[in-house]
Amino acid sequence: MTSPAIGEEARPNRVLVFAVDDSRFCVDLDWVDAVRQRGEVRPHITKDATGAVRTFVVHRDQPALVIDLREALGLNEFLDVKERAAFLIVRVGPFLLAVQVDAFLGLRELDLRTKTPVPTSLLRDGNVPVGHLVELDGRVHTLLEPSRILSGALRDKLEGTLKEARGFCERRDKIAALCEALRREPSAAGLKAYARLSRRNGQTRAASAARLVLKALQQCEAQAVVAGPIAGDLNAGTLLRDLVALSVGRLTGELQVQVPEGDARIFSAAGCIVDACVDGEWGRAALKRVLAARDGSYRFMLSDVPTDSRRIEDAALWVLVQTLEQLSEERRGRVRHAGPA
Amino acid sequence: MEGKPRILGVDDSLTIRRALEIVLKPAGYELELAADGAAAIDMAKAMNPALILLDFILPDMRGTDVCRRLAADPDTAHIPIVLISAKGAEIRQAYRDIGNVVTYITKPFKPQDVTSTVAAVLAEAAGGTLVKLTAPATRGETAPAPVPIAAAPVPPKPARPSFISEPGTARAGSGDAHVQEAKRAAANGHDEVDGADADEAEEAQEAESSLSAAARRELLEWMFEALRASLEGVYVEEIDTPAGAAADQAKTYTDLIEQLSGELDETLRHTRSGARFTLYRDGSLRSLDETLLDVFRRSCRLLFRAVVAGAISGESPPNPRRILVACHHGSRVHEQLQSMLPAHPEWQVFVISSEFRQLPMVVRLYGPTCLLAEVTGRGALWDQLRVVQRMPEARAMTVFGIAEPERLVGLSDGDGPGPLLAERGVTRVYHSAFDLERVLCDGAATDSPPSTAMPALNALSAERCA
Repeated sequence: MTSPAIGEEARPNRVLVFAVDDSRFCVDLDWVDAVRQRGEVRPHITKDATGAVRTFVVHRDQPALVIDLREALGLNEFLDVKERAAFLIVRVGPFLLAVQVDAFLGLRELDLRTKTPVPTSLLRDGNVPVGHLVELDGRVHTLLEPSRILSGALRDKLEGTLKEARGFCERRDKIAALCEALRREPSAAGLKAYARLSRRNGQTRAASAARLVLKALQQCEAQAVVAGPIAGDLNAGTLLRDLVALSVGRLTGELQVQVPEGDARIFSAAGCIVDACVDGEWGRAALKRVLAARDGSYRFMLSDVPTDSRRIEDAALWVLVQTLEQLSEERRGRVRHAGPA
Repeated sequence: MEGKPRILGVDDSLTIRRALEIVLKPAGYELELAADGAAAIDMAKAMNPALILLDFILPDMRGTDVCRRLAADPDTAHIPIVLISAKGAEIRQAYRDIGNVVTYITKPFKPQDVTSTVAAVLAEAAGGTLVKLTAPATRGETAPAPVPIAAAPVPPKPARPSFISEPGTARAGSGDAHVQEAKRAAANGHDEVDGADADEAEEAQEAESSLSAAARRELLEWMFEALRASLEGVYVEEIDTPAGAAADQAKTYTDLIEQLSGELDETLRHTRSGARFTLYRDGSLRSLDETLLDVFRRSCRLLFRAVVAGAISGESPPNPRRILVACHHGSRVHEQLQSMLPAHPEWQVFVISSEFRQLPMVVRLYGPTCLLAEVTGRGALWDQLRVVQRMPEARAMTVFGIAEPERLVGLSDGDGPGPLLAERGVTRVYHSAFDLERVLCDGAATDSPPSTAMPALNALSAERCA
């Protein structure tokens, strides 16, 4: 049995020390959900009720609203808005906050029996302090009480953003489930839902790729049967429609494409794009190069296609959506790198 | 042509007539009102209403007489009547005995009691025959199902709001007088005093005796007095519910106390006048018991909130001198302070000796009453002093500069700080920390910030509360 004296002995708090604007802060480790460097997480943007842009990161499938202590402490008016190197993820009531941090300075044991804490003069609801000031190593440290980081007004302001951010996460989950279904068995309804959810989540390139494939699918379904030979010029922009037509018609054969790099081939087995090759490159990469080509011509030939060593597994429509999305991303990257003319 | 259903409301009480107006007109009914029995009969013949809401006790005749006369006239016999009355045996008898009385509503009532009853009766009346409705068991029940007249059950007595209190605490004043007056009036052939018959008055006495109103009133008045004394001019902090916050923010506790106190006074005045109901803006009638309880609850909540917020405390906490020192590590000022500070444990001091970009945050969190800053004339500390000066905390803080005379060249104009020091809020510059020690020990300088201190402090307090 533990003796009361030992049992009642208070342990020093283990605190995480971090710096914001050269100020030293610490927070009890029990409150800390994670620490993340900015490069490790992808910030998402949403707008609050006032139209102001708010950022959040997704942590364990939940949105963590990015907050800066300058804003939380009401100093934005006097100091500029700043982007910092890392995030401290803490839970504050219903909110998961990603507090912007300049640097993490390590863990410390803080024994408040030996350090006299001074309550902050900044108070929150019910006249309770935001935290306590203590002196550690000759420097002022503020031991923050995470549940009091947000003022009532800021909390109200963030409510709407949190709702939006939760909506984003829900859509993200739906998109993930939808991707899985589309990968195996794509449908017009599924592609439409994918385009809608992606657009709402700010993935405009994914949305437009899905819409392109959807449009091609609708054109093919309107024609009902593939009439005449499948052939055309790349600059006519009919390749996508014809690849979708192969899928809809569940055709087996080889689409021969003449591109400046040489001859390319796309293999279709019962409507599935099972492989592609161009200039010694195979699989999805080859398909992407063919779809990116602007000059050349193509023609489909019915033939047997071996499917035992297929390099592309997913359903044709989904492969096309993904490839178009990648192309769009790459083009955007090239534009960005090239910079303004 | 199908127009709005026409309803005749008959009640001698202006309050009840007003309540019916508030409830029924927005619900899409055309309402005509009469204040006595004779007028009700005439108007019923003239306007042929779809329904009559009839007070049981009228100045010129009883409600039962009105019902019988309407039933005897072929022009009005088909009109369903809903009796409105406070609880009593006679209304139940009338409901059983008189064919055109289809149901009744008890006072006090909520708006939905009236609208649901009216809707149910009109729906049944549309069938062409009068059908008795089961009486509501308790207030606020949904529309009752119709039953044949012959099988109409005896309606159970509606539940009455009551307070738990010790026996023998009956109020000797207005409650008794009210009952006596009601009994006298009943003996003289008048059934009602201020809208209550003798039966009702007895019930009122019973209710009021259980209220221990005198005790509650005394308690509330004591509480209000205590709150007033403690909370004069204090702003209400942000509170727990959005609705509460919207209602109460930017009010002082005193405002809220005055509001509650006013409501209490009004309720008690109504009680003394013999009235038993309060008409609320939404058209609901509440008994004065409920109103008193409401005031009591809100007072308790206010008191609780004030205590939680720390606005009330037995003793005001000592106001420690919060000193913040900003000087370079290893500077002469820093060395002087190192030797001086241990001699003054009564001071609450934090020192910033490097990375001066933290100054605004530390000022915001620490809220110093006195900032001792090394005057450098350049660098981060010099820049941050100007930022701090823009913060509201600066209005409640005295800034002293410490610098050797050669540092002050171009900064001080001899008699006092020059413009560069002034824009950083430096009120006075000392040449050594030991010079400043005397000022700090004196206390006057740190406890009395510049001339506009009190308004500034109040403004700061208001900003923080907002």
